[in-house]
Amino acid sequence: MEENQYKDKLIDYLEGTLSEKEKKEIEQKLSEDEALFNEYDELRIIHDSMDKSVEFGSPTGLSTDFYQMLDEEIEKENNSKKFGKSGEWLFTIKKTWNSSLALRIAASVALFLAGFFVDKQIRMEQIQTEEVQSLRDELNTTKTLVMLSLLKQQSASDRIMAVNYTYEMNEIDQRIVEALSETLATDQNTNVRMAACEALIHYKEKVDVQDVLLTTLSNQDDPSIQIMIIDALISLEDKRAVAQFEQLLEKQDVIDIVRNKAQEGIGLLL
Amino acid sequence: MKKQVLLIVLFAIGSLVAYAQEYKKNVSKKDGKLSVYIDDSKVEITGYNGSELQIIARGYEKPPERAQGLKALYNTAIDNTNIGLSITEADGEVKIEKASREDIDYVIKVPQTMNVTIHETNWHGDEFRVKNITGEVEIDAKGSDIHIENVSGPIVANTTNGDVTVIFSNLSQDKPNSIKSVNGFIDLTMPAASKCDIKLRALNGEIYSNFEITYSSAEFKGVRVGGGGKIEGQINNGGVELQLNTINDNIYLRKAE
Repeated sequence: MEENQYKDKLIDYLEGTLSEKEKKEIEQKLSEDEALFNEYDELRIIHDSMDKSVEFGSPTGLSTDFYQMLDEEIEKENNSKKFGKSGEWLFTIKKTWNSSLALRIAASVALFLAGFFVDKQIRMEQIQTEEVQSLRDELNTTKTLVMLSLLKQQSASDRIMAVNYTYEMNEIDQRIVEALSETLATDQNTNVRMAACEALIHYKEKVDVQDVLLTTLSNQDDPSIQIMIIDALISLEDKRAVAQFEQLLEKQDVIDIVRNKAQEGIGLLL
Repeated sequence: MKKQVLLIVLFAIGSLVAYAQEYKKNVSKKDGKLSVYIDDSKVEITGYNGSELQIIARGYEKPPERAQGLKALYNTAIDNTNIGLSITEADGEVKIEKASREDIDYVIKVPQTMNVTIHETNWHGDEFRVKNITGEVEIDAKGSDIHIENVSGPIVANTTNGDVTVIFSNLSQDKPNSIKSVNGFIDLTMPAASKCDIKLRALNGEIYSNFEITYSSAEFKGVRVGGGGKIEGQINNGGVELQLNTINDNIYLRKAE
């Protein structure tokens, strides 16, 4: 045998896979050749430590321990006879699991992919809902700002348009309620005040406009607006309105139909 | 006898011409705003294709000689036109204010693209007529009738004791219209093809129309019970908002012939 051939056989010798004849030949050579022996010694150390690592650190070892524990647990459960069936079931799975590497790989790949897609989907949905929400918020804010700036316009038609904007809003925030209330109380044009009054009453179920309607009633001089407010307060069944209606009846410049409405309101609410 | 009649008629015309005073002023911004604050006057505002504000006043009399050197206390506006009006211009707005307590009628011509606003400042009541204006028209009246003609909107008008007549040449889709009265009727004419969302209410009156209306509330689709409620709907599939509101009289909504 050539020098190199011995070197190649060393590993096979360590593994113990050589024939008796080859084994003797190697042993003979090792006792004669110091260099070869040194090499053999190094290989042996590596080989031994590899063996140990396989014994103590490999996943196979871990899983063996784990399945041992699982078996014990299953046995305990079987003993307590509470989860007998599920125990057997788990056991079958475990056995199949142990026997098929392909199944394990397939399962982990499937799990990984599922996780990936679920995660992606959740993120997408989150992003989408966040985007939609922020767009919606933005739109509402824009509408609010447009509305508030239009309300300051000189043209009465522009101000009515501003008031009508509020009908398109998903949510009516406090700024809008305040702006509408102020318009109803102070705008110099009756048509605009009437539009603001209608818009406020339109939201009477969603936001608290009763206080605004109550306080503004005695300051409103337009019969159409007075009647709108009286009707709204009656439908809201706000008993505090009675005092306001009485106050209205004491005023000189209130026309008959408004008086009738106010009296009707007092009758209904008392 | 004939000659005498002719003489009298000629004299009458002559005195009428002499009676009427004229005022002219160049308007710096043709699409600016004309604001009129007035009372106890019949006012007729007509748009024309020009750049001048032209006013003819009828019924103006100078203050008595005794008042010479004295100030009128009721009117803070100072007559700077010798026709009983104070006219000022600033920031594209021409402001006309009555500076007299006399009953004076005014015929005013303005560039047709101006936005016209009339505010009636007291309850004497007369008539406001506006026509041939392509800009916005806004009239805030108390006792006067309102007559608006050959406009496209938006119109925002209200009066308490007067009737309102509006004749649209076409209905602009830009901005909402709102017209209201308390004791008077509203008579509105617009082209048959006008598109609008309507809100109509005549609390103690009736609403008459020859327009095809698509009602948005089920209340008005079937049997109509009672009255005085608000009618909401669309004409020609909807469009700009048109709100008409009166209490003690009727609403007439008609197609232009």
